[in-house]
Amino acid sequence: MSDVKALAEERTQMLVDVLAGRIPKRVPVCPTITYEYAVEYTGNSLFEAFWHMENFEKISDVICRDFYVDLFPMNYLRFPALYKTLGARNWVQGSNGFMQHPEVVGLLEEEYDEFIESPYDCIMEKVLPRIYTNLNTDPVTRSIVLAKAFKIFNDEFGNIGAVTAKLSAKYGLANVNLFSAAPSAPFDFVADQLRGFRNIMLDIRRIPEKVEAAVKAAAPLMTKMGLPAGPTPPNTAVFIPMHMGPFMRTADFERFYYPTFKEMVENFVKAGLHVLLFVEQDMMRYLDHLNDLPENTIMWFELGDPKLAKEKVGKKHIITGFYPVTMLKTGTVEQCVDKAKEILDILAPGGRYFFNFDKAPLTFDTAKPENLKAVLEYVAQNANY
Amino acid sequence: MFNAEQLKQAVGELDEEKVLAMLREFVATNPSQEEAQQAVAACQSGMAIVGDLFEKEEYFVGDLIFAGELLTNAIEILKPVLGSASSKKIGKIVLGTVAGDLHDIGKNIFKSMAEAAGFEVFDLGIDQPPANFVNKVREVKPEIVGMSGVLTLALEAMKDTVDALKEAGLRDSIKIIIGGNPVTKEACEQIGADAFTTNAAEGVKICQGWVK
Amino acid sequence: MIESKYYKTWEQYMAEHPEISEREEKAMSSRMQTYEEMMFGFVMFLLI
Repeated sequence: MSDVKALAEERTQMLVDVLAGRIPKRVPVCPTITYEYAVEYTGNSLFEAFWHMENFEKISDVICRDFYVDLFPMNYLRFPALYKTLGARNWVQGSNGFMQHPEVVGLLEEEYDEFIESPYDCIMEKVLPRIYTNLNTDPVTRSIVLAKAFKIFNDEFGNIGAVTAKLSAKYGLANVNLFSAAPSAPFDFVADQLRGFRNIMLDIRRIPEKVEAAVKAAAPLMTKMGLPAGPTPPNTAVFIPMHMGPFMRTADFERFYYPTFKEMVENFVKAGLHVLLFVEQDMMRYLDHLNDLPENTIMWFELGDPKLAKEKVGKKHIITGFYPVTMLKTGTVEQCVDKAKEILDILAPGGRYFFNFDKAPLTFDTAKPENLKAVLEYVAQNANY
Repeated sequence: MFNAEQLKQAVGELDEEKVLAMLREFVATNPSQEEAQQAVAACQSGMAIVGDLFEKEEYFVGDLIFAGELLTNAIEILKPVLGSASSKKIGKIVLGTVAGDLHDIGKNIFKSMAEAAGFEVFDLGIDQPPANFVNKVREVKPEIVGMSGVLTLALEAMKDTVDALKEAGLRDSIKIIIGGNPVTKEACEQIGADAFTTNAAEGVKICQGWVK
Repeated sequence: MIESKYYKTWEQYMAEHPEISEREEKAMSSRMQTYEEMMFGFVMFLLI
């Protein structure tokens, strides 16, 4: 067996152990590094780079070469070619090249009943043409726009999938997929692009029954989105970013957010998938709710108290995150490594932990490469069990 | 007349139905401008309760958004009886999301809470280049400039804006507060702002301290 | 289960197309349904 193949097997085994709740040989090093960061690290320009995803391999290769990772660290979703073709209002490329997400309202208040009655019909007929202006055209133009968009979607994700497999093989990275699909929690789905942040906050006070019913109606769509069309591949996790909890009162979370979310997570686990939650912002007041999810749910924490999280959910679930990526901008190499030690001391004991930052560095100036390198190297060389 | 204490409590509890019903009933009695001012003051005290509950983590951002909406609707009902005696303003704030950033939720919460506290707010909008801040400050001569941003790159734009205000010779006549997810004490010093906050209610308190 | 004009499971599709023979069904089913599922995934991605 070649060296890289053996390395890949070893790394896969470490992650498989963690996902099963067993103590691995060492803490796996699984940072997520944004494509934005990689583009600037390699001296490329963001604006052009997103239009030329054929460079994804070249750019990602440099990252895999220069930084210690056990799992392929890159991903990208917001292709300007796709959103431009659709005339999108929800994703717009700024003059600095960044894809930004303006607030949109895809579903009007008077359309709640229609959505509740038949969510997918309502999405196709009302929501998509409202958010994607080039779908709000005559039938022929619309069909051309949709055909182009679908082709772009397939090409871009096909490319990213192929590059992921190719570079994982080249660098002996783990054969584990933590991002097989990215459904939202049903409440987040209704909040984010259907009603919008502001409206949903008004709705849960003014028309709570409608919100509740809409979230229930959205749940089967989100569940279906996360399930594989065929048999479930091994070592695969569905990624669910959790948005709205920190902005809501706990009682509202319990009523509107948690029930359908929990059921969805349970359905994924029943189908043989792992679940990776991105626990955005500070959700320490929801640790009991999180602990109630099926065993070995992976929880990627952004803010909060790592000790408290380890104590409350760390015996049953898998923790990652918490390392403040801002350290990598402001700290010295020594300070950054010390922070890694501190986090490892809290989270590594007993297993059920892999290393990642609290969030991916968004731009090149948010993380000095020498700091990023030093931290990843440190964990890889020292976090043995 | 209305019961000021009840109105204040109802606003604090974000009981929209009760607040609006009380105000409609009040307006129907054809009150004097002075009485109408008292109703506005009661609503503002109610908003202070909202701010306190937010700091105590009983209310969250969603509740602040609702509070802003509630207050706007309340003032709308009172408008016909407020007449020309518009309430006394305690200060002026020029506010905007800085260049390169399109987010406005935090800015809007701060705006509605600052207005509730009696500030006159000039909202530039999102993605505002330094020159727009400079021009507006020249025009309205505010006591305070508020800059908002969510993306980490907003910090750079905030610094550019402060620098532009310095160059225009306006920096010394104003206080600058920055707000949003990425702001920290270090960032605040680097940018050259006077204060920072990730909490709109706290931000309004800081501004109130400046105009006292 | 999703009830929609714009998405059909294979069973629903077959129920609407009784003219399709057994041999045809066997040859076409997985291929046809793959694209149905892909389109569903694409549409949902647009709202994420």
